[in-house]
Amino acid sequence: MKLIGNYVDWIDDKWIDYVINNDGRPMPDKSDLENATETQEERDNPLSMHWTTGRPLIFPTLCYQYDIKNTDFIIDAPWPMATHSEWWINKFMPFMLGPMHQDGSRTNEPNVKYYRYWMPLQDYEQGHIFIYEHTLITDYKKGDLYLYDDPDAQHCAGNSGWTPRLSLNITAWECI
Amino acid sequence: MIYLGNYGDWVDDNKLIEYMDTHEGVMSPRDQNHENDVKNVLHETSWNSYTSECTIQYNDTEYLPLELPDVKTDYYWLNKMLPGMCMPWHRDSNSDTVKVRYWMPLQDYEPGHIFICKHELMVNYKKGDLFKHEDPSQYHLAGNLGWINRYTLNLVEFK
Repeated sequence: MKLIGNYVDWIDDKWIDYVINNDGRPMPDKSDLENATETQEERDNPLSMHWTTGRPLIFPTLCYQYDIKNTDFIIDAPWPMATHSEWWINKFMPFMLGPMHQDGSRTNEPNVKYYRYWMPLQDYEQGHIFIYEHTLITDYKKGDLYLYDDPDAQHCAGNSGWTPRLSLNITAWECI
Repeated sequence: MIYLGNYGDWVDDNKLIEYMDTHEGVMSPRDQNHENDVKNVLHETSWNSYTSECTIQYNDTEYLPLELPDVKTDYYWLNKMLPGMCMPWHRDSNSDTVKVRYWMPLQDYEPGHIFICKHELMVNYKKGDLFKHEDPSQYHLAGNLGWINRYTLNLVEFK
């Protein structure tokens, strides 16, 4: 993860108000679950189904997601980016946890270069978790912009703290 | 966290993971019946309302006596966390009586198996590595954001 800069002055507080005060899309999405099919790996490791079908043990929602389809605002990044991009905001309420994973992507497509950005929408708090590969990201400030070294890198996020955790995620891509 | 040495052979000899996988354990804090612990750890937040299944604990000292070679300890508990379990940022409820606090993973480091103390994520450890907390009352959290069960041993020496 490279820290590229800080864009706190660019963040519109109405995004945060909206996300705090409105329900997002529970992830994993219900339709995803209904259409989910077991992979061989999942059959071999039943525990993995705790994550992919929602955790029966504790709380089935990993996080709430917001994007252009369920918000009333558009986010247009001011930093130089690739020609195509999509954004989403994640809200993790206390105890919402997302497993170690790679983002679904088309990074194996030939001649396409991907970029993944991560921006916390609040200062670092104890218990707010973002782990990139084997590194816990801490001491960040609201609006810090990070770029993944590897768009396919494993990462996980969660909230083991006491306040909602908000982050902006952007994937950008271009043909090369 | 201060690294003290590796007790991997001792972990194997005591069959600790096998013990946890064949015994029921206590769902903590839900079934601990330590009302104050629950209040201390899960106070005032949504943690208390729907997340009382944070870890499965084992401390049947009568049935599983443990003596760590060359380390004085008075009490222990084993933790088994299934994927998705997490103990929030907290200070252990017995902090006032503890002189030294130890932490030992019972398996090699696995991505998503998290133990965070003083903003430090423990990584790349080996089964049986023994660590001493720099401050026994330090806030910390543990969780399983991985894909396989997570097993640890906690030991304390009282004042």
